[in-house]
Amino acid sequence: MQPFNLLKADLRRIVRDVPLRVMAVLTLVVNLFTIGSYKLLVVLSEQFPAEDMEGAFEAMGIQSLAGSAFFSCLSISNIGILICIAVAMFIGKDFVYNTVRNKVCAASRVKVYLSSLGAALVIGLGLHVLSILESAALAAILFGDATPIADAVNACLISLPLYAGFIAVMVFISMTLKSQVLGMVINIVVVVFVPSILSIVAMTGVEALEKAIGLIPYAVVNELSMGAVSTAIAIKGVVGGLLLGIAATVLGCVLFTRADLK
Amino acid sequence: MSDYAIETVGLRKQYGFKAAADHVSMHVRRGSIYGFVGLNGAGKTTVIRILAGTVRKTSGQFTLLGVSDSGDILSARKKVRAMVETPALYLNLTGEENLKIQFDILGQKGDAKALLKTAGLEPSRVAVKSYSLGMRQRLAIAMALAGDPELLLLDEPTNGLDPEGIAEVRAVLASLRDRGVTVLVSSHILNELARLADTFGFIDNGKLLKEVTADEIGAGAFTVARVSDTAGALTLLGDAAEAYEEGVALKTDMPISRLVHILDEKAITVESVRTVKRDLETYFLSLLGGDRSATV
Repeated sequence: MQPFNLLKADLRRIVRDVPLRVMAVLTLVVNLFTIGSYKLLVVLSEQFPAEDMEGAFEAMGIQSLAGSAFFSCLSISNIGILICIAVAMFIGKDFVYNTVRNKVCAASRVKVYLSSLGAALVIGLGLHVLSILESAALAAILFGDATPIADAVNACLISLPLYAGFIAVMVFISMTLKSQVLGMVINIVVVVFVPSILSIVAMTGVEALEKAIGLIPYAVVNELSMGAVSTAIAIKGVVGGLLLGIAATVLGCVLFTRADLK
Repeated sequence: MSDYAIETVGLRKQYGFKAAADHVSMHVRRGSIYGFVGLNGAGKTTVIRILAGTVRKTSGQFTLLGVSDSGDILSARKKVRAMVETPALYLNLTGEENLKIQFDILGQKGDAKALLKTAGLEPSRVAVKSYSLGMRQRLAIAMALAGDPELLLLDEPTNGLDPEGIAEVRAVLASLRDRGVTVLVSSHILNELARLADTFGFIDNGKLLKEVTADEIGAGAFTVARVSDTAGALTLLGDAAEAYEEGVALKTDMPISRLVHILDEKAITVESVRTVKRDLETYFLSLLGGDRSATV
């Protein structure tokens, strides 16, 4: 039961890790800022005639302001950056302190990698679920509309497999680079900036490009952050997350098994 | 069951054009303390890292506790602990927490507080980042002792310790040997190693020069003659002597009368003769100095 021994060791570290607690608090700050900004925009728009605003919201496909505010928190540039930093910090610590040696001397490289993945999933998905719950609560409170609470359940179900895939990519990056700072930077570039760039590219109007980009997992997150919740999106999320997760984990295990550690 | 806790055959590790370990074939008997002696960059840490599993070998084979590295080496590694160069500790956690994590990794239950005390540390709420170098070294040794290993690989375990700490480590390692634990220890403090180890392996430029027992070293002594012309004497004596401090050291058991006769041909006088008892340091330096025989 070695991966579980290693995971138990990492869970003990997670509980005692102060920076992770800071990350958890930051999710609240980020969500408060996002929903607060949304609320502010709505308040400012009240100077315009109500029927004009209703027409504008209808045109944008917004059925519930609270719901829309909630879903905007699911954008990968919100919680995604915090998860990138948290995962890279936690895994990178094992290389900064050379404590990965203690694990490698006691277990196979694959088991060490998988237990790091397990710990990263606990951290990353934990922050993600926390963020979903916070943003649902904040949106419901600020807009006086309980819709986000139900939306939160759907969002969890759809986004968790996908975020698990992203976290597997972050683990691959951190375990391959073996550096805390570089891991953070590359994680953010790969997981946050690249999808943002792809989103912009998709808006160029070239149909083939749009279709190709629509297939990649990041597109699911973008659709989710616009409130698009459907079975098709859910299936795309699960499949995308699985494929991303398996590919990143297999490649990561292979590279880590062959690596020399300081 | 193999007599050896560690056996390596032609172990090699290549980094680019440099062989950090170059066909190292060493033998560490079970229940003994093996002193691994070499200069900085000689390859000691590389060999220890290969045995510990943190670095991949380029070629060669090794066995740990009778298990070949081409077989189920992980089953052997569960009984092996290593402390390589700098202590591998979570600086943001306390000593006790580090030990609990180590027990978790090993899948064993253990008394972290008792192990801390064995290493001369008191349980406290202070994080390891506030520890002195000596305290971190003691904690690293405690981590290496967690789970009752059968084989210990220790790279410079007394680094940063005061004399009291060094004596404590010596006592701990001696007691481990009495319990049948095998210890491979590398150290620059040769006189400490000499007091501890039963066998020594000398490594230089990645190559294992020689393996000798402590008795073989202690039994050795050699003659040093102070002469009027050292350079001339060395030329005359050739392979039978080498430069040593104030004069020449004889590599063979040449009688003094014969030495005087040879040097007299070139009017070189022998001013004084003394016998130097061989110790680990002189033995090691003589090995580095050339193809020196270890016999008297």
